[in-house]
Amino acid sequence: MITAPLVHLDDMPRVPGGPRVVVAPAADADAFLTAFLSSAQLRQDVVGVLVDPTTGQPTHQSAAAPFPDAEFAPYSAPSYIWNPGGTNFNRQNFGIPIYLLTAALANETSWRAAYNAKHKLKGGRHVARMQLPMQAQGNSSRCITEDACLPVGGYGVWTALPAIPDIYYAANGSARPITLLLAQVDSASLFHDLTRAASTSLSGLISAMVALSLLVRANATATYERQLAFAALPGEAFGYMGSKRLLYEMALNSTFVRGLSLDLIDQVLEVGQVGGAWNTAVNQSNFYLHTQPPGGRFGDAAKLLSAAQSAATTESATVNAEPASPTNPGIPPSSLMNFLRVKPSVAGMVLTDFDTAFKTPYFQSEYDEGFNVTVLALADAALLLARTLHSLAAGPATPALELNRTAARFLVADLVVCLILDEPGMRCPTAAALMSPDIEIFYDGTSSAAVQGYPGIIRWVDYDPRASRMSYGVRNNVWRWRTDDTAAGWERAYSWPTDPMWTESNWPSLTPTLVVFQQESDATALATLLVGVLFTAFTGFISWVGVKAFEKHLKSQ
Amino acid sequence: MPIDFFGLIFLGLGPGIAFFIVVIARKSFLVLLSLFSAFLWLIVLLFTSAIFRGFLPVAEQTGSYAGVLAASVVIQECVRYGVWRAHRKTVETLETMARASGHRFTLLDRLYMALAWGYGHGATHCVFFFLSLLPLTASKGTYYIDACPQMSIFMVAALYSLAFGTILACLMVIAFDGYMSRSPALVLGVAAVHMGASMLTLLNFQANGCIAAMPALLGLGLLLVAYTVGLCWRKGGR
Repeated sequence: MITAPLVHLDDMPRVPGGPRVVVAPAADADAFLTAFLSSAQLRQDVVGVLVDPTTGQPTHQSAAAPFPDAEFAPYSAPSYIWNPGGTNFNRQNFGIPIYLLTAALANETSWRAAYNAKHKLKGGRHVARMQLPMQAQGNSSRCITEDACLPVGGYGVWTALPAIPDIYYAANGSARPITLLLAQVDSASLFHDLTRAASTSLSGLISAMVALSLLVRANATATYERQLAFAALPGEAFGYMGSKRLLYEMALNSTFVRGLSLDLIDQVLEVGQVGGAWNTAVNQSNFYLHTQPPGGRFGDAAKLLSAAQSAATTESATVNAEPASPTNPGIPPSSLMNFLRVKPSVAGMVLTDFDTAFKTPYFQSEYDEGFNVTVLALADAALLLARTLHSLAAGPATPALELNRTAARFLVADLVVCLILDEPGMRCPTAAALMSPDIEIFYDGTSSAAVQGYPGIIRWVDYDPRASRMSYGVRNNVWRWRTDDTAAGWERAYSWPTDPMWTESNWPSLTPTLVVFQQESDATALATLLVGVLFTAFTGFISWVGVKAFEKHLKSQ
Repeated sequence: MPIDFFGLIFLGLGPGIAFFIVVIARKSFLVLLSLFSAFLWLIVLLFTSAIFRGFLPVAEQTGSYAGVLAASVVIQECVRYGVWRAHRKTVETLETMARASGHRFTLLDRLYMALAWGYGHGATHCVFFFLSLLPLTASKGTYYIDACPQMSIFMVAALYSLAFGTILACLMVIAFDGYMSRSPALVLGVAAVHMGASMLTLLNFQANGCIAAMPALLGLGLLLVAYTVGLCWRKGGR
């Protein structure tokens, strides 16, 4: 339990030193936290930070590094900045509680901090009491063993278009080469539960899903020469969990990836951040195609590039696709990096809205709510993808692709309503027709079916994801997989960077809490006690002396 | 915080309890009389608050509060006179009964009884206006109003309790002396001092007024103690 006086960030120089809880406006929070990490004085004085989001949103905020997960890249350029404004908070140990305030608490703390500054912490000062005892101790290995934490993770989904006819498809000789489409589904941020993933991953996911829907509606998939497959990958913000697991499952030839064999995959197309492609000034969506430079040890992506560029030309004047700048060190941070690590001969391409650096100011942030994502950009990305995939997979008998722009926009709008908007979130008609949503109920009774950007934790694991949720075999299963020699061998074979184990601690119920109130200073309380005891003793003594003197006085009369 | 709680108890109630133990508890009759007095004055305060319940909410202004205080003091002064009348009647009856066996109340006895009546009066004010707030200090927080950033409202209440405990106890002794010696100056003086002390607490409404008001009340209490001790010293021997 930590209690300390509230001090507003702007009042810091004016208030006497000592432990304090800093109330920082959201727009200045990143700068302050960065200063905190590097200043010994701040580390000593500041025992907690309360971030106030009601005073305004920062113009850019990203908890990822300037080059997120640089060690996974197929090239070495660790100082290249893909994510300007990246603070790398996701990988820092702050050691103090950091809260994001609700509107009511933001109101309370601001006037209390102002009072403290006015009276310079003398007398009754307003304090914040923070109670957040985590059950996990030490590192992830220890807390998993002690059942005090649960691993971060989620479930990915893959599908094939057209459906794979036969589970032994990959084994018998008639298998077609596979073009794999990838999209990420989630993100990370400093405040995990508040993570939004609109531009970071949902933009790509929606474009991919709409592209596939358009291809299904065009009804030409039966004539394709190549097999199309799509994988939606979770946990990519946490050391590329999803793609790494998919590759491992394919190496194991497990039941979950029957039909999707790495031997057959020779083209991988990833759709990354595409939400910001629409340029209102020129009425055009600008897309960039990232590939590893030709002539290296990786597969030649020329076919993918030409397919995409001709698709853009065919599509309309509003869709523009060009290869990314050759001054880039290579492909941007993406799941494709992992495919190239395991099978360098794959021809890979990443479709994005940015060229040399991320366009979105909120990569891996709780502010990534989609203000810079437009339906036009996503629709154009979907059309571009559909046409590209169609041209890559087309056989001699395949008819030309007819795409309806309006239909694409409607499909995109449908999914945006479900996946990006807070309301109705997953209670939207499209989702409601397929599933019942996870509803989150907040402390004040309101509920939300909005999609969370954070992958969340895995409470139960089993080899069969359809197994009953009642078997809480997390600890045993995690250890089984960690000590699995096959996995270790596979990791070594492809020199994967060290695999961290991401976990979330368990918490006692009703924690963490934050209470703000006015507290008497210790000095005053102690002084009151001393003076009180003194007065009491003095009164008793004087009264006794007085009574004795009075009696003597009476006797003498 | 708990240390707040104990500090304030010692400050506000400690001297009163010490005085009770040393002076009043020596005679069991005085203890009973103090308790009875406290009970009676509690009824009076409850009665006063019942009247003003019809005027709720009272505007938080000096003027409105002055009206409430003035009415309350007037009611208490009237009851004080009634107490004197009832007390005198009872004492006369008891004296008649005691004269048969040759005893009578000395002036010292009468002063002691007046003190017991006054102690009950003061104690009730302490309980009503201070002890009722005290449980709030047992938990973590405190409360300061904007007009008085120097001391919390609980501190003000403790000082009030200390001051008015002494003031009211002394005033009752002086009043009884005034009634006994039929001195209108003393009787009216007592009423005036009571009214003045109550109005002095309104100074707490002013910014930083509590720094002037509370020491002034404590000083008034000390002055009255000096006067009362002098009074008893002179008259106690007879």
